[in-house]
Amino acid sequence: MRTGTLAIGGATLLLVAGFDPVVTQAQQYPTQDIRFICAFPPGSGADVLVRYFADKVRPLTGKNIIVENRSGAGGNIAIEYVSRAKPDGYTIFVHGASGTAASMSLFKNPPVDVAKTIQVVSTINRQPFMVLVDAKSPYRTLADLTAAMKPKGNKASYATAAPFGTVVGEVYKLGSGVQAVEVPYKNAIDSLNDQLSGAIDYAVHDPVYALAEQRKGDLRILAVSTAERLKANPDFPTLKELGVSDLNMMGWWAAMVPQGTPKAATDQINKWFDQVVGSEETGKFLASFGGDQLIMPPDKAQELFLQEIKNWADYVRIARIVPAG
Amino acid sequence: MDVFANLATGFAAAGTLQNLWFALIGCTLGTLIGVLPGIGPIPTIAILLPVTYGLNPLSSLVMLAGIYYGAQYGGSTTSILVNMPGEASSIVTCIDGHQMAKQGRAGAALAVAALGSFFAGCVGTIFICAFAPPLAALAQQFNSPDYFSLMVLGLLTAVVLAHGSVIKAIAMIVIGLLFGLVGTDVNSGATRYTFGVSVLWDGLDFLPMVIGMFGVVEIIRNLEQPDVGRSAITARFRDLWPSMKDFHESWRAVIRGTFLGAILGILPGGGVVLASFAAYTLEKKIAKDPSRFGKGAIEGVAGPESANNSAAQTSFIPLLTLGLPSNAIMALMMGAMMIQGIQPGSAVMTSRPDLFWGLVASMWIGNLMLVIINLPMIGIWVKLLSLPYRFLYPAILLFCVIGVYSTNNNSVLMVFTAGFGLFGYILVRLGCEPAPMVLGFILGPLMEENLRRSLVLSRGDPMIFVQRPISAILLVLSACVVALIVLPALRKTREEAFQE
Repeated sequence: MRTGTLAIGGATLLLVAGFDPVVTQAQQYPTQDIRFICAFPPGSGADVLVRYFADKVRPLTGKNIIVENRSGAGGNIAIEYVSRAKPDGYTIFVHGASGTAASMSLFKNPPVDVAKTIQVVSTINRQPFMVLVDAKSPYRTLADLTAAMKPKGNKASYATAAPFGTVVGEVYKLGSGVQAVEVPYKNAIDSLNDQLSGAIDYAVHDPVYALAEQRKGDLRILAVSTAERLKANPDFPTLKELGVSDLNMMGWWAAMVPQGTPKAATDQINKWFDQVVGSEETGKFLASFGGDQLIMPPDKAQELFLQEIKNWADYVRIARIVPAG
Repeated sequence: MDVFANLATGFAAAGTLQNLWFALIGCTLGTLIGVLPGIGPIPTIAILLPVTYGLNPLSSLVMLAGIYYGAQYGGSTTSILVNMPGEASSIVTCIDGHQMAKQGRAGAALAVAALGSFFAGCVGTIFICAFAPPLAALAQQFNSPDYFSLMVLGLLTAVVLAHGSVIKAIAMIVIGLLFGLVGTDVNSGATRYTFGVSVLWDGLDFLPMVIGMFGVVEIIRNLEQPDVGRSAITARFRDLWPSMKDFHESWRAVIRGTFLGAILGILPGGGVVLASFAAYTLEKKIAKDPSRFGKGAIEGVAGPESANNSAAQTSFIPLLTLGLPSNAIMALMMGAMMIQGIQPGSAVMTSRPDLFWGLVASMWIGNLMLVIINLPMIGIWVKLLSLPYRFLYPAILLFCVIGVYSTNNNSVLMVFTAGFGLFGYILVRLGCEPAPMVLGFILGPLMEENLRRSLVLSRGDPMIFVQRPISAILLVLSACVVALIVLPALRKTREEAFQE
């Protein structure tokens, strides 16, 4: 009995497969539950973002979506895990594509070559890093800050809490002639007391922290690192328009899969994400993280990803970051 | 008054059905593990940490805090009825509590312990309301050098107040500091002691360490002892009401114990065990007839039981205001907050007032629940004492393993858990307490980070630590603490104090 059913099932599969593989796959995907891989621990800010997308994409798929947290080693554990996963469309990495690209340069021995193992399917958002000063300080514009910092030479100090901040900080110094000394913190919030007491002259931090402190009235945002102004916060000038740099330094999130995933599956994933990312609700949600929605065709996104790998090799060189590991 | 508005916020946050439910779970669990000898609040909180991932921050803190002070209630029951401390902080309660039970006054002893604990818990909560806001305001002035000096003071006080040998306490803190060095260095980005294992890049994981060192070790330790039958002296509910004479003899002891406990709870390295021992010593010292102690003196129950409970409440003050965990339990609470993405410290009160005041309010609610859980339902808890450990321990071990694995789906963490379990057991056999090690592990990286950052800010000039007044005062206090450890005369007093 059992063998009989199996044989028939197998024959049907063969028949269908022989008939038209592409169409079948398109009809069949997804036939099982999908995993979203999150490179951060449960409960963290990034985890909230991944779970938001899991909740919104789930009804579109008709299947369950499980968020799997594989945190550690600056995202490397998750990157390696996704790279080695079966390329069948059921493992989707929801993570910073910029961070994934950066890992190639931030670590001495990256476990995988992401240009060959990871494919960007759908972009999610773009967000800048921000230059911040104490709200009580007299610096109203970046030019004010530059004018005050230049004569201080290496007596000036600024805070960073991420490699991205280090890069933007270094680019600002190169473009303006400021010679301040970088003071690294583990978390942006740790630098607040030092900044409010004047021990730190300015800071380069992520937009979530920057916007929260701006709203509280503690700090003032002077510039953002993207080449274009943000739609969500159009009041902040960019480093580019201020003439400090012509780089477009942005963090951007994306849905990524292992390379070799069938096109039918990637097209489907791209459709789901574009629909969710394009909604007004998601726009508001992403704005709370200090960024804009980002939608582009998959081939353009992959191109940007490959470009970003090269950009980060430059950034790390400019900022003289010593690769870890 | 600001305090009342704040407390209203707190009661609104803690009074939701969900948070009341988690307070009840925490208090019940706390009573349970308090009653059961062998498993205490540290392993329980460590084991439950992974569960809190899925909860909102307030519910998880409410539950974990409930376990801590709930255990202070439950521990006295076993001490009084079985002459076996359910909890380390109830060791001294055995002395006079069990004598009272033998004389047929078990009900009075239990009632005084519970009502004294309730009073102490309420006063402890008021202490938090009074002292936390000014301390938090002070903490907002703290810069990197001040934090460094604060950590130094915290670790040194932990040495002075640790049990047993000073050398062993220092050794454990240093081992903790060394474990804390593992991972990526914030200043240079270099990875240290990672041996090419990428899991170690972010440092040793907190959960496998605490679950191994406390959960697993606790089970091994208990397996060493044969599972002997525990016979309890029975107490009926109607016998519970203490006589006027009991009230008259114990109320002063309750008040003294409460205030002593409240102060010892705030000190770094202090906590419930120290508070109960100190309160017993105090009662014995000031009694008109010290010979009554050991023969069923009610003050010997009232003082320590009040002290351990108020200490359990006030030990939250340094964590919630300065971000400084004063003992191993608070280090675990700090871990629970960081898991939720909340950096403990002065920012909690300003950015998350609902969380801070909600936790304070939940302590008051929890204390009320505990009186109800513990007094009328005393019979149920006594029955639990006959629960065979051959069922209990495998269940706990399974829970430990699932907890660690589920946080990161990484089997390497299981190996760490087992390794720390073994390491912790060796330490216990050598007579070393693992609690100071956890403090060192938590405070070490913060201390190093602030030290090096201060030196970057001052461009290498160490004078920055004495130029800032807050830092200078903390360092002077640290020097006094070192004197306490080193000076022979003072060392003797410390040993005598612990002898009692």
